[in-house]
Amino acid sequence: MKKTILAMLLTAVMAVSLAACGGSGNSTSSDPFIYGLAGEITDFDPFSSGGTANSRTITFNIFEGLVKVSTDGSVQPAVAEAVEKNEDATVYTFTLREGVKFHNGNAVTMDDVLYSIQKAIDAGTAGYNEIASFEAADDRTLVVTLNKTDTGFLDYFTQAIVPAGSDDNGEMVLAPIGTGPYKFQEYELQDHVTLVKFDDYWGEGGTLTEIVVKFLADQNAQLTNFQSGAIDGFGGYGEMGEQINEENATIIQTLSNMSQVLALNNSVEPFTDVKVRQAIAYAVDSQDVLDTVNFGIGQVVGSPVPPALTKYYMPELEDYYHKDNDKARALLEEAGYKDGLTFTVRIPSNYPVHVHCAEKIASQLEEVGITMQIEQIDWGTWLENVYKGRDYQATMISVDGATVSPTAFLARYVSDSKSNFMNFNSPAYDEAYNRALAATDEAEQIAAFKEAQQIIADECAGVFIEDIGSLTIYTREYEGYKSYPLTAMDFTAVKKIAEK
Amino acid sequence: MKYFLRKTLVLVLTIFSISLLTFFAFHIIPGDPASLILGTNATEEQVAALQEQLGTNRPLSEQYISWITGFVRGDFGSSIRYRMPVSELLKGRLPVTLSLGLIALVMILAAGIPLGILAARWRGKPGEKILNILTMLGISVPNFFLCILIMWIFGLILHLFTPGDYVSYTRSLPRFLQSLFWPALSIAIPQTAILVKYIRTAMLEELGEDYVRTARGKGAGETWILYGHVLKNAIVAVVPLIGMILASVLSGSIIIEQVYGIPGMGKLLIGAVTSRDFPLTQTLVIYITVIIVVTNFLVDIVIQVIDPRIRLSGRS
Amino acid sequence: MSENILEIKDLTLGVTERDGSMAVAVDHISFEVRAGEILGIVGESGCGKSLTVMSLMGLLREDVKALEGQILFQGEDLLAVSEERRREINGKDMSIIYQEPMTSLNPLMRIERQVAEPLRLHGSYSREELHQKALALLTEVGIQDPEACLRAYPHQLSGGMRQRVMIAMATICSPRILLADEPTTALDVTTQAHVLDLLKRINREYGTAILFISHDLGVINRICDRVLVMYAGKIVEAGTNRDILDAPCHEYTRGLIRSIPTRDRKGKELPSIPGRVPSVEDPKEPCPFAPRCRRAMEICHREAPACTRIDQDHIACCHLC
Repeated sequence: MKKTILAMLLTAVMAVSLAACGGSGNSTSSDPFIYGLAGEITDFDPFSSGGTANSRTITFNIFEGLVKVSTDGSVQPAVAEAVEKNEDATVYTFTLREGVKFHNGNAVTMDDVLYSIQKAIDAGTAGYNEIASFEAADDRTLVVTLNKTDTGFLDYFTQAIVPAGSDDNGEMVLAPIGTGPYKFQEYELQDHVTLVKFDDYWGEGGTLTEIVVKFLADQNAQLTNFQSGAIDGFGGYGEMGEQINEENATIIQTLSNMSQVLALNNSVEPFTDVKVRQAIAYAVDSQDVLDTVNFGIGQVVGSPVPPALTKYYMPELEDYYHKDNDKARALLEEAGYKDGLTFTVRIPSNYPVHVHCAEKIASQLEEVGITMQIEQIDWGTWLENVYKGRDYQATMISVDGATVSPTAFLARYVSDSKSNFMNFNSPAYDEAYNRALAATDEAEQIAAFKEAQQIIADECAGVFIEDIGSLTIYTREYEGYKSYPLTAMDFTAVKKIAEK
Repeated sequence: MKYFLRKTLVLVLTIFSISLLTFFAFHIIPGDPASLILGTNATEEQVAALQEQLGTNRPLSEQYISWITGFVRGDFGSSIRYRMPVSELLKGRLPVTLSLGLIALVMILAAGIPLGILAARWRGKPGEKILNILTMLGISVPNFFLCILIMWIFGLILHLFTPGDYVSYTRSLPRFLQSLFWPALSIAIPQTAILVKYIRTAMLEELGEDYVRTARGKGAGETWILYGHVLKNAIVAVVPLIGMILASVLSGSIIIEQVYGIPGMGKLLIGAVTSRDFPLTQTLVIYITVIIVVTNFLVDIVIQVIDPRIRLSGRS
Repeated sequence: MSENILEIKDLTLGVTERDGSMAVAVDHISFEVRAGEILGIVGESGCGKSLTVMSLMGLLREDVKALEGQILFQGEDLLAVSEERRREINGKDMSIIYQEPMTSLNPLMRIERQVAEPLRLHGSYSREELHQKALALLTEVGIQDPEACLRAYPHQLSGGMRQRVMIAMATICSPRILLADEPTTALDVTTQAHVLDLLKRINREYGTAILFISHDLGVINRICDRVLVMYAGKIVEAGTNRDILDAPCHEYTRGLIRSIPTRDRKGKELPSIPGRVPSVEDPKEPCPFAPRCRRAMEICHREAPACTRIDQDHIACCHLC
């Protein structure tokens, strides 16, 4: 008996050591492109989690809507080849493109489109509550009627088109079928997702034949995996660029298209007083944060709307609260905090970049006698207590937009918005925002959105710091990146330029 | 037989109370699975729809009751985050964690026992100091740091392996085992250090016993005494520790699996807790409980086999 | 009759103190063990008798060192021999049994292996031979069911049986001399008598010399031919059993005799010697017993007593003798 166990143990040891000594590479010429993602994607449901930033790394390549976002932020036809809207932007008419196929080989039909819209409505997808009716005029013509004017409605129609009946029991969650340039092949839980090129794609697809998205624990794991050669590329923050040897890598700098904000809870002391909020804004030096924490990669902002939304972006707000300790002290004194004040900022611990920025900001605030204590909490707790429960003094976060529309970034500042986690309350803002929504004239609309942003800045809803620079890093064998005004990874842009 | 009955009863009671504890813990920690899946962009309607779909809009106590009644029938429920039956998730993960754990265990025993004996042999010699420093290092270096060190030295500098290059056993068994080698080593090093320290202490303690004096009186030399008399007695003293090591390696190492990117039970537990996946967390906690109770039971049996003074009995 | 198996000359043992210094625990003692005799050493605990025995076996604790003297075993100085030689002698020519047979046996080893172990260490025998020898020995030492006993583990035996096993183990190689360190102290009176009888029988039948140590002069008197009385690391009186019992000269010896329980003193409180044995590190008077001696004189505190030969084998170290 003892000998048998011993023999088994020895065999195990030998097997392992043999394996460990064996050759590590059985690389073939068609090695997949391996992209390292900090985090994991747990499902591919386009009607729920497909909207989160991480999921979009994958779902952006699998699914398409009737329209899709282009790199300049405008929407372009996709599954629909044309779209028209009536004068007051209440009726949208789509013409379906011919020859669009699903990954299962079937052609896209009107049934599929109607099914997908109904799914999105049922799932409570943003914007779909504006739909009064939708119907097929003929096999290729879809008419969507809204219950109010919305010139930006098309942004919502980037929502995926899936085969009719394909998601009746939530099948999409683990086996997505779309019309995009890459089709889903394999998902290994907490490890990777494999995508392969969809040969019947209607448009110009990518050049990579196989893509593996590897789920990694955090940015440290991304760096290690990249240095070891386990991944060919990854996306990270500016602060990670310093640790990459540029000789062995292609580093592409873009923006993350969301404004990092030191969010101050407008209905909790001491931030009920606009003077205190402004004092903090004056005490914070965003450029300094950008330079020291993110090595200058990124752009200072002064509004929730990121620079990528060029039409609505207001560069004049970038330095609206120019660093001025004297003004900050004066405002504090006026507000009755002559001897300084102390508050706590609760930051989700899964975002080290916010923690690092907060550390820098804390030292800046110290100069005017403000003590900012940093408390790290886990993401689930943050969502529940801070974001939903609004139980916090201050927090630090970058909120991304689900669509490339100013509403995606500004809607949450409306007083009675369910996602107004900063408790911003300004009747003037509400009026300007609603005026923008109702406007049918584009210039008029842009002016109203800018006015709304100006109010956010004047009232100092929070301290907007920067649109954090994002880096896309490849090994020397790859190049190509398409930057969209929302967080997404478009694998069709990536090209292999050399062999290992 | 009475012993087995008693043990089984203990197991059942432990599982039940642990599941209750997990339930209360979930009551206390904030976080909503649907919001976690949907993120900050979701509309309220989306969250409500998903909660309805996942069944997380029901009170937690109701979720607990439906989970535990299913559990009793052998149905572990369905993971909220991973959207598949928990049993299927376990089926995929168990081979990974068990392989990793067993490789680590082999390493721990293969290195720990001889080194522990050596440490006892070398008492008072210069070798002892070196071994002491090494075991102290092994015990005190934080696990994640050890992982980074191993990755850096053996992976990035010496190129002995590719950190992050995990290959599933479904694809290639040899490459799977190969990719577990270094993570297993990272688990093994601190545990080996602890084992060495314990064996050394146990051996030295045994060396002071009267029966060792008797053996010397018979003319037995150092080697004879160590292997013929002391080792077995010392092993009895460290079997509970080996049991604890076994339990911990089979439970899945959270840190190691996370750092090396190995999709085992530890990583799954992290995923389950961070996403507030109640049925999955419950089942994983129960798994760990069963592992601990069963290894304790094994420890009892092994000690009983080695040490004739101890007999399993129905009484405590 | 006068062949000496062991000759101890000026043996001095030191114990390392906490501060690193050496304290003398056994002070220049000399005696011999003659072939075939049973020599007893008696004294209260802490007087150095156990240390002396351990030094004879080479089993001193690490903090105890032989500082001076010789232990001559058949002419060979055991303090000077190599470790290998020492191991050859131990268990084969010289063996030892202890006070605590329970802890002195390996709890996880069957009796057979432990009894036969000296044979395996000092020769090569087949399994069967080992078994037969062990069996014979157990029968010899009076164990009822020797086969069962061989298969048993120590904890399954009674105290008396364990000591018999110890004796079997110690005598399986037919040693010239057996050291017995308080072998009966832990046993009840009946068992004690049996074990003493057994030792006596071994001594008679095989001519094995026995060095018997006890704090109980009563036990010593029942078995020994000659007796050494030790106090505070010194031999204070030596003589034949008769000499010591009938004509004790040293006051310490007298004290020990007074404290032997006897039938006629039944029911009365046993007189004991007042005070206690000085510990190793305590400063000692010229006559170490002087502080406790009821006959102490002024000279006792000033001058060490010489040792006087009273009879052929009877020596005492006292100013009064």
